[in-house]
Amino acid sequence: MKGKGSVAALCLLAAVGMMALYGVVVSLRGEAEPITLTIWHVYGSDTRSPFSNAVGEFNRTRGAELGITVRVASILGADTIDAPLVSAAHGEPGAPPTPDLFTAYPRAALLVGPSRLLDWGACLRPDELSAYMPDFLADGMIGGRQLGLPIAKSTTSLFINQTAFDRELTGGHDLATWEGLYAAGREYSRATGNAMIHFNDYYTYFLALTDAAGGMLIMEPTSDDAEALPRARLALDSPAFVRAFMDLALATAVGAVDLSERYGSELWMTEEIIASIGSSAGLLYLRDFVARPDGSREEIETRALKFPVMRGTDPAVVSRGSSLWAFRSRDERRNRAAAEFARWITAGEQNIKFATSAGYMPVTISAFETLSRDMDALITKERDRRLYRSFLELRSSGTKFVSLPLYSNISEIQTRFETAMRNALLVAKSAMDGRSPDDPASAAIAAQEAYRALLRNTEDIR
Amino acid sequence: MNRPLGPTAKSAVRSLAEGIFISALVIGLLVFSGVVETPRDRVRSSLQASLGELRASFSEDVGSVSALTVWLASELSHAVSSMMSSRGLYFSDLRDSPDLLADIQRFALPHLLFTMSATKCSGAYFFLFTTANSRIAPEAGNGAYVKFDSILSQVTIDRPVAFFRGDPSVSRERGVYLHGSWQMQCEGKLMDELKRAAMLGGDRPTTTPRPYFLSRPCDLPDTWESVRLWGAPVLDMSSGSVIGVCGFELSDMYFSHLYPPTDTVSFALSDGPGDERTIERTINAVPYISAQETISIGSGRFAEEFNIAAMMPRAIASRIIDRAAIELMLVFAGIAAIASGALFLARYLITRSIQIALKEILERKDERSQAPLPEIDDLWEFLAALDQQQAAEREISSAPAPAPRVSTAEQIEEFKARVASLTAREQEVFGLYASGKRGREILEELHITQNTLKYHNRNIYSKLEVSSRNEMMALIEAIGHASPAEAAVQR
Repeated sequence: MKGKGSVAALCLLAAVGMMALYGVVVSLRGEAEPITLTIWHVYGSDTRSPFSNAVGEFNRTRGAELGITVRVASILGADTIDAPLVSAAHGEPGAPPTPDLFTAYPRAALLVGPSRLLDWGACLRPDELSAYMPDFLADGMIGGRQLGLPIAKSTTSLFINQTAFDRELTGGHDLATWEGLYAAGREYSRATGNAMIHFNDYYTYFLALTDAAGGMLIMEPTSDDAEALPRARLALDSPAFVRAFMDLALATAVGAVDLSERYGSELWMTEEIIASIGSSAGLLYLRDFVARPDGSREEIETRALKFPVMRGTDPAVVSRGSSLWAFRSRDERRNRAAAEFARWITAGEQNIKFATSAGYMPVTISAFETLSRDMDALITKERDRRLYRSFLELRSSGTKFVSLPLYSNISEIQTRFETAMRNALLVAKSAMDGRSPDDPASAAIAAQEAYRALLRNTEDIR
Repeated sequence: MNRPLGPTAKSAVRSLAEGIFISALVIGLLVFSGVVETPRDRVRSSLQASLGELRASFSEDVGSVSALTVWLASELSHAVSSMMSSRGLYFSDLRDSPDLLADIQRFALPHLLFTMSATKCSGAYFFLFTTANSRIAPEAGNGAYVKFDSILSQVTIDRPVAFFRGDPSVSRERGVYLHGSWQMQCEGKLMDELKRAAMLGGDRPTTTPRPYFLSRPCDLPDTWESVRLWGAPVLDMSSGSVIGVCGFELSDMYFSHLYPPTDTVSFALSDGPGDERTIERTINAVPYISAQETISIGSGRFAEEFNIAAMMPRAIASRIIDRAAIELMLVFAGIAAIASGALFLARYLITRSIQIALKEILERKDERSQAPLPEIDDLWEFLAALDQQQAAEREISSAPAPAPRVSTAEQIEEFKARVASLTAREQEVFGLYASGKRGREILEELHITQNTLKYHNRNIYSKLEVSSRNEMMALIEAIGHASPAEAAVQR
């Protein structure tokens, strides 16, 4: 019996040892396996890319500790990332593989399918989520889940080529109001024969202005399906919208507004415009010099100003800037790795560093406090300081931040609205052919024609 | 209290030691023969395999892109030459002539847009070694440089393109938007590198230009991008001199699209083992290990050497090595455990069996075997026979021959009567013994099992009143070799 007991003990010991070792190996194989996550982002597609630099820093520091490498697989524009994302998500022929992470507007998340995305709320602790600016966090909330995480936010700003402005215009223009800006545009047009102002998009402009005047650009119809996101429609007949539109159409009719389909930054380079209304992150693209047709350059002073207001209305701006999204993986380690990166990129110092080098606002409450306290130390260029002072002023002055509306058809609505608005403004411009821009009656008629054209072109989405 | 180890424990310890030895021997042989890799070898071979894949893909791409580059250069050379010829111009007339240069760009841009959509590239360019404004940019190259807006999709038709260098009026006519870092002409290090690469490293135009080349890496001004440029010289067909250069862009990011990194291995194209900058950019400046190989681009005296590298961050390599070491240890422990267990069990079972058999044989009073293993009976019989033979030999040598045990006719008759009492099968076996057959031969002849033979043996011994086969054989000898056999046969 003693011998048999020894044999059994030895066998048992061997079996337990084998199992223990196997467990260690399996565990090590799981946890130590390095992970590479791919990311598509929208920060600096044509210029320097502070975000890519931040990714590199993550890989060298926290990523190296955890065996996580984030690879920037593509840098696109905020307007151009949607299409490849959708084709990748739907596996279209020739499409690239979906990235693990991407930055985009919420509309892109709707297009790729919210059910395929990772819920950051399940990856980050409640105290971590509460550190973010609540209105920024709200931008990424879809269907009650935190699918988008703010990493840097912008707003709409007015950029002025101050050198050309001072050269061509007399003083005394009130650039804090649209009325003042359009008046300056009329004067610039008279002086140079060129349009002064370029809008990178009309959608956010009207969202802010109609909201500020007590109206709504997007109307949400009642939906029988409580689960589905409702389909939105345009509301173009509110007094608030009509007033904002007429101001713009009149300014266009008298030649103050450029209607080319080109980017504002491109027209800025060649001084074809000297005022650009667009994302504050446009600072990355607006150069401090302009190129002349003979190849020479001229240094310019760029001035960043708050988004103007319509006289008699409260200030309002659209909160913009893409969020960070992740495709949910069956491999939980990849989801955890994505959360590690999200945690790192939005943590204090590196978030301020990345955001301020790209013209964005940081996204946590503490980062905002740090920025307002140490701005001179954190931001070296005076041009950039002006922009950040305008940010802080917006937030401290009670300016309303309007969130981008999110409906199932919002991407289509936005695209259709942009096209219809541009075509309507072209009508206003062409209606002035052969008429004097100084004739207010002609300009008013042109604006009315433009409005009718807008209504015609948006009949099925109103 | 040190108590001496018991026999079982001693056996276990000995088996364990031998098992470990066997495992070390097996692992050593497997490693030596290359069947199993050491952890470090595993990392090295993984890198080598990745490098092999990179080499195969890259070589194929070099062939196709270089062919298209040479074709593009030929097209543009003929086109520019015929344009100058039709207007009665020499190349030098293009200097400080922005309108003429814009016309050339208008002609070249469609070629660039078409060929770049058919080429594995991230952009395309065409520069003449002349300037639109010698006062401002005397060393600039004038031409067009277009870049894909996105390199993600493999579908290149209708892929948005940005105008990186060139006359903006030309880009607008074609509906190509200006790149965020657009400039009118190409200047600085980028142009210097193109001139160097196109002209075989010299500063002056040569009469024997390089057919095609791949440039050193260049940082595109005001962008995050680092690129290499495939290129071929554009010639003035009337003089044969190099007047420009054209080709395709291979950006770092596009390179990583063509040769995508895995979770562990990244790839780089560097200028040589000393080009740490390129490698570090690829792998984020973390310490790394790599497998590298030199490749030549170009042919003959025009060839330039580059390095392709498969790289792994050292931290990841360490993790892989640690994991592989643990796996190898597990295999080692597994073999050792199995070998030890097998040795121990073998020892235990055999020893126990022999002990039981010996004990029972020693204790048994009759000839019936109770040993658990039949081989033990055979062994015992063999030993007994050997003892008897030796005893007999001793007796023969030391004493007169003893009287045979069966010496009388009566005894012989009794023996015969006993033989007659055997069954037919027993008589058959007996007859075979009597004819001198051994046990194994009987088994074969009668096609019976060993146990069956033993069974017959026991019955035969019992009926003949003998205690062993030797005694039976002695009786057969005594009564005469033939008669019992005959008797058995007759019956």
